Amino acid sequence: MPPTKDADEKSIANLVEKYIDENDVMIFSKSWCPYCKKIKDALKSAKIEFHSIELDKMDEGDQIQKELFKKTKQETVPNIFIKQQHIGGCDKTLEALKSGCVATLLNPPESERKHKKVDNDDLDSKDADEKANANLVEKYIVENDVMIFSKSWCPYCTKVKDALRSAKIEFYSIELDKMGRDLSLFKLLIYIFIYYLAEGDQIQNALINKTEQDTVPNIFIKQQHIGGCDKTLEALKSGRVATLLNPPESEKKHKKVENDDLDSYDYDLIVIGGGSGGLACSKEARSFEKKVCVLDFVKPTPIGTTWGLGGTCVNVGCIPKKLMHQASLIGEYVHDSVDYGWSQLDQARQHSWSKMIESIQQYIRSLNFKYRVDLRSKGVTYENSYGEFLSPHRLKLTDKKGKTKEITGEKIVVAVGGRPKYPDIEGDQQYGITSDDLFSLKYDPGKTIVVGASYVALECAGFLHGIGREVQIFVRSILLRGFDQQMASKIGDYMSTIGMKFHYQRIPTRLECLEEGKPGKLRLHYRQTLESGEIEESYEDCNTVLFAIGREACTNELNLDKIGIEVNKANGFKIKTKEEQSIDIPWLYAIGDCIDEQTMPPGQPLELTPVAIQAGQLLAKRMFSNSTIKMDYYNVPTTVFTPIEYGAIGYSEEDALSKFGEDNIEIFHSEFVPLEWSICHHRDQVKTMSYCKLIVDKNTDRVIGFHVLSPNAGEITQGYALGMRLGATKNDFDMTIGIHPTCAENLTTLSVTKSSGDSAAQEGC
Amino acid sequence: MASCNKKLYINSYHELKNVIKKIEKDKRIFVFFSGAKDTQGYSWCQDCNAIEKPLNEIVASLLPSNGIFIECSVGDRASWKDSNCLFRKDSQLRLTNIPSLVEWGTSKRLTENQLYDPDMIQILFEDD
Repeated sequence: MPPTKDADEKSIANLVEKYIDENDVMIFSKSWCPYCKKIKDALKSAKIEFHSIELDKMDEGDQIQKELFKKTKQETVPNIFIKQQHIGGCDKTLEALKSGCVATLLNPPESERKHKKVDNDDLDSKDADEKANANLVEKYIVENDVMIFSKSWCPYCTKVKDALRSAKIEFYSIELDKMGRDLSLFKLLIYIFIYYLAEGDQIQNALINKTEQDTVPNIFIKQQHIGGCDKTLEALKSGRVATLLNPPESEKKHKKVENDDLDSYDYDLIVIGGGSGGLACSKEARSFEKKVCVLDFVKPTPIGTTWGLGGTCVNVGCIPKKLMHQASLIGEYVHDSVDYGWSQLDQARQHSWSKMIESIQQYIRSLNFKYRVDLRSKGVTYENSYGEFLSPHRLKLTDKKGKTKEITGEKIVVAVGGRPKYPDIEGDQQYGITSDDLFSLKYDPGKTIVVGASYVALECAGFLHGIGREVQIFVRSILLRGFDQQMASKIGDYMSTIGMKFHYQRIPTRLECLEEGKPGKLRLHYRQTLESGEIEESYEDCNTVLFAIGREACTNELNLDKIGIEVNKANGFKIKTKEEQSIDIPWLYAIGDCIDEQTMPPGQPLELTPVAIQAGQLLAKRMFSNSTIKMDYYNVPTTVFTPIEYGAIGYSEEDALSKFGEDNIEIFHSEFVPLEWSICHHRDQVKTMSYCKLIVDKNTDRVIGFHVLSPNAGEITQGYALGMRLGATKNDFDMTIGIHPTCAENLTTLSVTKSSGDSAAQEGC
Repeated sequence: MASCNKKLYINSYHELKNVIKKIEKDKRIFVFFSGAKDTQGYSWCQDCNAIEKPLNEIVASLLPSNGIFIECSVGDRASWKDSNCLFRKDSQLRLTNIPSLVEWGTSKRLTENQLYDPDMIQILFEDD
């Protein structure tokens, strides 16, 4: 068909529209034009991506220019559109850049963003839209017993509505065809937590995502998806609708828990567990003048180790771990000292296990005392007793001597934490130890086999090696499951290089005692899968076997079944919670290591003291005041205190790739040499092993993953956690001036990307 | 030394160190620091006067069987207020206020109002 003038114009107009629609920043340009070059350079400097076409190099170039003049009354190039808004030429665009108008167009302002922040992932605006729509749909479904997504002109919608009216069943419907900007703005003012202006189409899309039904009417009854007109009429006829709206007696029994409320309670709040979470929660509750009781009881380990008030962190976790890590670092500094001019330190170097234990235990005891005094002075009742549920709100307490009593609490918080697992092999509890025993071990552990590849295993192996003990590590499959695997393997490389022996695919089968003693001589039998696939059975002799294969929540002996809560081994016996409240029982709450919390990012459980503390404090505020502030489990910084420390915030590379896709992320990375190590001969083989990377969401430039492997990574990571919390972009990191010479500054000068394939090795200072 | 008499009165830093050196290693030592008393038995430190009787009663009933209770005077007002006061400067003791009850050899201590609370004293006396 010969092209007519009209057809030409129409197709050119469409072409122009297409360019403008498909590119956030669109530049109609000419290759020789200096102003076009000027604005492109400016955008490049501001790290703003754009698309440009060179009209002088195109057949339809002239026609496009004419069309642009028709559209914008501008006949010159560059002619620039941002997010489909016409900006103008070079000068106008430079001004818009300077004034921040460009940034605002590309990244909608805070107030809008805050509401899209549905699960704190910073997605690009398209995804954020989707999430907002999904939430709007959810809200309609949850808030209305019978919810109909309808269109005003649709006869089937009318049919089912009539049927429901006849059956005298109340329903709520929204007409998707009538949802344009104005109407929905009014409707949404009622649902005030989403200010996003929804389009009916987008709601329909959200419904498709949710139900795979693309037609209207789309009907939900008591949050159950029924279907369209026919399915709903059928459900009406069969009585299913009636059943859904009025659940039978047996289902109602479940709700009877609220009728288990007592007339009066001994305490407003009972907290089971005096660890990081429990103590923080109970003390915060006292600030609201509530009557609070804390129960703390340590069931001794198989070899009889026990400890005082304060929980895992203080007694057998973070505190002694960090002190022993420091002991091992000091050992390393002694090696370094030679090159710094110190003499004889190296030769005189020796380490006394008992002296270290004595210092550490003395400090821990002072903390136990401090916590006791603190609870007392804040008016929290403390019971050194084991608590178990007898019935709703009622606990039986058993003290060290076996004496029992009963107490009741209006609200109860379970903060019992966890304990290390044993592998369930012969001799494990009899001859093996765990971290529960290690930090107060009264004798030198000597040659030690660490079984496990958790951060506990690697940290313990690390400091034992650092203070001069021979260490072997038996790993079943991979190191640091759940952590960024590139970083995990770098930790493994570092630790092997400094002399620790890793044995992969090795599973212990039996622990035998050859000779009693302090330490004795043990023989650990194992099964090893060789590279060939063959299975070899053998053994290794040592003085101590430390099991660090994982932890389980201490919920098994609380008699939770007496109040209707089930826990099972599949998720480590954790209590299922939503915003720290039991999903089954409204007066029962839980915080810390023992919870399986719905609002936590999937994959990596956040079993950390500061998380438990903050969750406990915010929970107390919500329980006893009108606070609605919820715990934010995203971008929680963590650090593994292996001999080379590893700090991380946000997404691991694996999680980022699977959530965002390879095309949407860019990874910047660099190796570097800590200056303090550069002159130490004893560090020659590990000097270049420090490494850092930032994972960036290409669409928003936001840094979604922060990883650093270096000395003092813990201190470094804490500082950057503030930036991550405030939504720092790669540009923010780059524009932050580094402090020289430090390891931390490397995060401000990253330019090499993984995708470029260039070397990440550092060149010079 | 006389092991039947569990209460000791000490008047100086050096005397305190000497006495403690001689105490059996298996004993727990609790030292109560207060201002020096005049000939009538009153201290220049008002809080110390007030706490004396109630504290003594509590200690009498709660002191563990392996515990030794020592009352130690930190001297007159001027000596105590002096930043060079030996009780202040001792690296382990680092006493900062009186009245104070301290378990010697540990960082556990209670001061001032805490001393009126038998439960607090009980926490201090509790065995680890």
